Amino acid sequence: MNVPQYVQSSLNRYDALLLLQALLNTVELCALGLALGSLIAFLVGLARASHLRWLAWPAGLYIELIRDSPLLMQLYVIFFAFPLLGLQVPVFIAGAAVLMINCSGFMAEIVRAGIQAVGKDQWEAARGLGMGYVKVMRYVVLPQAFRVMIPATVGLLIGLIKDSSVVSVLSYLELTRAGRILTEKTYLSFQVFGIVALLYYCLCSPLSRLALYAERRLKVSG
Amino acid sequence: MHGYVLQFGPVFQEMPLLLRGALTTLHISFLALILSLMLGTIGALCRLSRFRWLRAPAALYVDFIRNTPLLVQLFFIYFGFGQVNIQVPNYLAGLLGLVLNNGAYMTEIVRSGIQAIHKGQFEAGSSLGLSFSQLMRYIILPQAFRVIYPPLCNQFIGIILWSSLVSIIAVEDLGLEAITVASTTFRSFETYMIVTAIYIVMTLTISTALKLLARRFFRQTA
Repeated sequence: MNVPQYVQSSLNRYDALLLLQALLNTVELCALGLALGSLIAFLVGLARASHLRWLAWPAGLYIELIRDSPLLMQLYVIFFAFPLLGLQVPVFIAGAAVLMINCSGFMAEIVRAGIQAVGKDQWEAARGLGMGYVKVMRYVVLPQAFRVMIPATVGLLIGLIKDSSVVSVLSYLELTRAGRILTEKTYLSFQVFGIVALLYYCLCSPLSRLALYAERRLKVSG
Repeated sequence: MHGYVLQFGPVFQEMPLLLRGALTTLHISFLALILSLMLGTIGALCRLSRFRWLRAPAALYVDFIRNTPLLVQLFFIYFGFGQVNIQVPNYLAGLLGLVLNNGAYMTEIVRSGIQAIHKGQFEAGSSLGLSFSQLMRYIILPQAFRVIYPPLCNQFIGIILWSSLVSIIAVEDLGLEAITVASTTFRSFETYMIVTAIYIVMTLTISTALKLLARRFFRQTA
């Protein structure tokens, strides 16, 4: 390839700083997406596991729509929905909103599975003691459901970190975007994306191990 | 809404373009499915091999691919080819990325399928004097295929959804045609809504068809 004269021939410490900043931005984006996403997921999951049809059905539709469409298209739809609502938002907010909504759809299904994994007899016993819906959930069902949900949630977080790479198309400076900037600056694609991939690996690999460990450790007996 | 009126008309006029993109999406996904299943079968046989020098690289491959984002892998391949001066059509680079990525997931799927086959089948096969490849070809893999059919279907749906990322490296799939249509009609939100709907229709149709096929051939519900 003909590399123009002005192209920088190697990576320097400023590039390392850019990557570090991008790494922090990726973590920030994922943390916000997960935190807000799990709040929505909790409500949607409760609705999905409900016996009330008018609650369960829309929740099911929400989950299906998210799980059956590509993240990239969700990103475009949400990004272009903001101006329609008359809102001008920074790309960070738009990106976090996309991850939040995507994450909530997948996590709602985890919440539902967790709630439904708790035996019906537990419900009946708690109801028989005169506990209301909120109390049954709070003291009986959810503490047991969390056990089932933890390994799946760690798995979801790994997915979320990888998914956050798609936010780079909005030009938000996260890891993948930093990789694009550095390849344009140095033309060293293999090295740059090798480093970027390695950074993602450092974020995800410990979580993968944690998910495996949690799965073994929290396996519900019987 | 600032008086913005949704207009889907101009987007519907571009439907032929979008459908052509959808066709590209389908055939890149189908090719990726077949090739990654082949890669995954080889990977699974390596992972289950007696030899460490086959097991270790296969495990490393799976670990690394599953803990890094598809988009970064696509950039690594696409821009990497550019760096070493090899001219590769975008379509091939995208396909290669999808195959390498899904090959890792397929390895795990096929491996779990082979491990689900009862040990007696291996013993019976080898006591009949079948060689390793005959044993795999005629006894183990056909049974394993039946076991892995449901996760294989899910993986195919996943490939269709994630193949939208190849639009970022300029493969003319549904995702890229969506960008073209959005920028020629100036109806971004409407375009991406319709394209998302097309993706949902594709995935729902295909997953239903695959379930019917399973009922027909395996007499099982996938």
